[in-house]
Amino acid sequence: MRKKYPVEFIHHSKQLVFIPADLPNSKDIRRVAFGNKLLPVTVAPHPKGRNVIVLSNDVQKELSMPDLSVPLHVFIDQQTLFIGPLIGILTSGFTSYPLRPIGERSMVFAKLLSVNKSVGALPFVFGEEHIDWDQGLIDGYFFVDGGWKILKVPFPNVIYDRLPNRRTERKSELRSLKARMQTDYLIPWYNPGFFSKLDVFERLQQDERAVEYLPETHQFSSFSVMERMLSNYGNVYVKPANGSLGLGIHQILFDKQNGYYYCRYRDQEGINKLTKFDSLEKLMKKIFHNRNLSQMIVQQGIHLLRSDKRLIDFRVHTNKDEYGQWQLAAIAAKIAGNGSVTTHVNNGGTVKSLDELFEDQEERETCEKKLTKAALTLSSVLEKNMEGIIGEIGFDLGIDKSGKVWLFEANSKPGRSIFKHPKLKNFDLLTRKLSLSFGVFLAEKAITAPEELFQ
Amino acid sequence: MRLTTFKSQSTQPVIALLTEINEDGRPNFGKVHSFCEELHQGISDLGGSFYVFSLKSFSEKGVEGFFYNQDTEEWTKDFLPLPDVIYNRISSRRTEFSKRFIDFLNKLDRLGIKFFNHRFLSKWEIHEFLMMEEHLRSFLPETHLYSDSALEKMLEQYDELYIKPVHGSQGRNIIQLTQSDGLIKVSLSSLPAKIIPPFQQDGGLARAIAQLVEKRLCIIQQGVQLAEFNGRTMDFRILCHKNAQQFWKVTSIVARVSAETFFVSNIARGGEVMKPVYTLALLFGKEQARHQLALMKELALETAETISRNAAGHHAELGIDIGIDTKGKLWLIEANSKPSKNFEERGSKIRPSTKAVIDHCYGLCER
Repeated sequence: MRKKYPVEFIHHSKQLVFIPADLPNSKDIRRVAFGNKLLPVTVAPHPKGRNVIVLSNDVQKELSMPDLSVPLHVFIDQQTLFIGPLIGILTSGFTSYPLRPIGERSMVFAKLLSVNKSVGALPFVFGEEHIDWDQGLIDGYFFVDGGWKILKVPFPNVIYDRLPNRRTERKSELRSLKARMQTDYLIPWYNPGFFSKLDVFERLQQDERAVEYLPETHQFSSFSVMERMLSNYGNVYVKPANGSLGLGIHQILFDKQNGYYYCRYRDQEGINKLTKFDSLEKLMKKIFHNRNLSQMIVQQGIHLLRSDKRLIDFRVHTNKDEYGQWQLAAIAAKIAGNGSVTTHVNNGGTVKSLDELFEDQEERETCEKKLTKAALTLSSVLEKNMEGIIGEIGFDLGIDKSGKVWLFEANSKPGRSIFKHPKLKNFDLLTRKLSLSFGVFLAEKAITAPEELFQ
Repeated sequence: MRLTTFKSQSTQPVIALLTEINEDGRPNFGKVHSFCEELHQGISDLGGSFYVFSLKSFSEKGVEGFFYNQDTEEWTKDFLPLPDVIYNRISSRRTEFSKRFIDFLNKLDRLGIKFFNHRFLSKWEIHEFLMMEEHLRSFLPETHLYSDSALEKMLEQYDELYIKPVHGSQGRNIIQLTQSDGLIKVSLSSLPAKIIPPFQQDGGLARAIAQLVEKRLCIIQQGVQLAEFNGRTMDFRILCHKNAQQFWKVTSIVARVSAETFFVSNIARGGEVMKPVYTLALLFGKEQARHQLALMKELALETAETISRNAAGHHAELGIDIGIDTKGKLWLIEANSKPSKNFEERGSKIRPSTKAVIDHCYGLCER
């Protein structure tokens, strides 16, 4: 564990800095830094031998360091003592209402920022419009004593990307902001972008450690490919390449005995339908007549585990921790609604912890082990094959009747609403802590070994 | 077992409501009487069965309860099968402290019968649960367990204070203190007419309050300058339910406006109910009202989640009271685990809160 130190401010007009007594090589320190602000200053170990950081008000002011009584980390490099880290969480959609500054996501961010004390960092939320490039300052939204407060701070040590959607991310202002922060300021940027479903599968295919988890998946190309998949697997899933929340997912089944094709889906009114056809062409024509088939993905159907006839799949979250290692952060079972193609909650699905799902403890353990192994393997393979620094991934995994694990989807900005489930609350807390802890790791890397981050 | 007219199919849930029953003359279920009629209606529409019983008539072999007889259109007493789910609407806190109630809960546990809401929650335990959540703290008025020293400390900080029984409900026995020009005025929610002469600082206030409080355990709470609607105190009641999938949802929101010149807005104390969008937009403008209403819902859901996660037993229905001060800031005032059902419009239809309770019961049976 890295050590965190309380930070104290004292009234003193002459630049005064005491550093924790237990810091090694402290007499070489010539500068103190906070975010991207740097100040040449003489420092001394705490005169009473306490392990705290003490800054005089003038130093605090020059560094634009807020007094939030959060214990912080210190990193030493090239005679500079870095205090922090300052973690900038980038998003958009700010409102003019101070009690709900980020609209409906305010509560989510308030909870994320509330783990600051246990993580030992100063996280804040900001948008592109809050950056003052000339002064090198940002109007950051901090969550202090249970309320929102706007404080001027330097550019952060790391940026955690929480842009809400692809549309915002594509905006030119945000693209140039990202380029500038990374290339001009060398600020590591984690969790960029959104995975595309097909892209994930294509990249994972490149690595043999991942291949065993991948159901056959293609962009829709021809009926003959579908026919072949249907005869191999008995059923396939057809889903939009950029869909979410289980919208537009169809299951197509082929009955070898009578030669009929069936399509199971949820119609416009939200009713679960099962319709029968005598040819695949007729089915596709009727069901997908107003859809662009080239935007659809065809995926091998898996005979999933069931609970009282209902399909079960799993949501598994992984995060990188404060040492940059992948960790299993959360795991939940999702049980489909009656007759539903998907396990999504808005489709009648229910969420359970593994404890609730499995009465047999041994069975639960086996399942948990398999899912953990799969998620951790897939995380490190994905990390190798995708651009940018990835700090968290949400996986939709299935287990088939023979006990084999399959990947359905991987998400770089996974939703967290299923962790509102009463039995899963601890997972919610853990994912929040880890997502900021990884920021601490990156900040240290950027300070002490930047060449490993910016190649 | 006689099941002559009480219909129950093995595949359909049997849902029962637990409350006090007055059996003099026609059976009467007190404040939840008409709500029981709705529950009967809603549950029979879905094919399930419903009855009402009181604590003393429960046994491990079955329950002597009242089901609604469609033929005679009357609540009819019979010996009925054990239910799958029990919805607790006991209205007396004292009953829930009794040994009989504890024994009853243990029996349910052994029998595998689902039970909610577990019991009344005390104001102090709710406050402690919510204080653990950093992101909710700024919405909580400063609150302490009542003591002479807490009174002294709070009088130094605030001009308006409330003293409320930890186990109180419906705005009963609340003491309001207001200080100005060195004088402290004392008002009582239970006795609006009674006038107590104001106290000087250190002028026997603590002793006078001790008499009013009697032996009740109380909290002392910072008074919040609530926004007024036409000169009348206003707060909001957000009714929340856990749905069949165990997620909390907002079922309804109403603005409660107090009877004139009275400081509690409980309907039981003579207030009235209004549309929240309307009152907020008039006070703060449309744009701000939209955010306030949204935040109110989010806050209510967070509160409900926090309470149900921390409180013993299963809770699936909570009434959350939120106030808005003159500056437009929201305050969490109270949460109630036996919320009144009298805020929603009742036409011939089944109210949303009834539907929500039924939905949750069915969800519990599926699991």
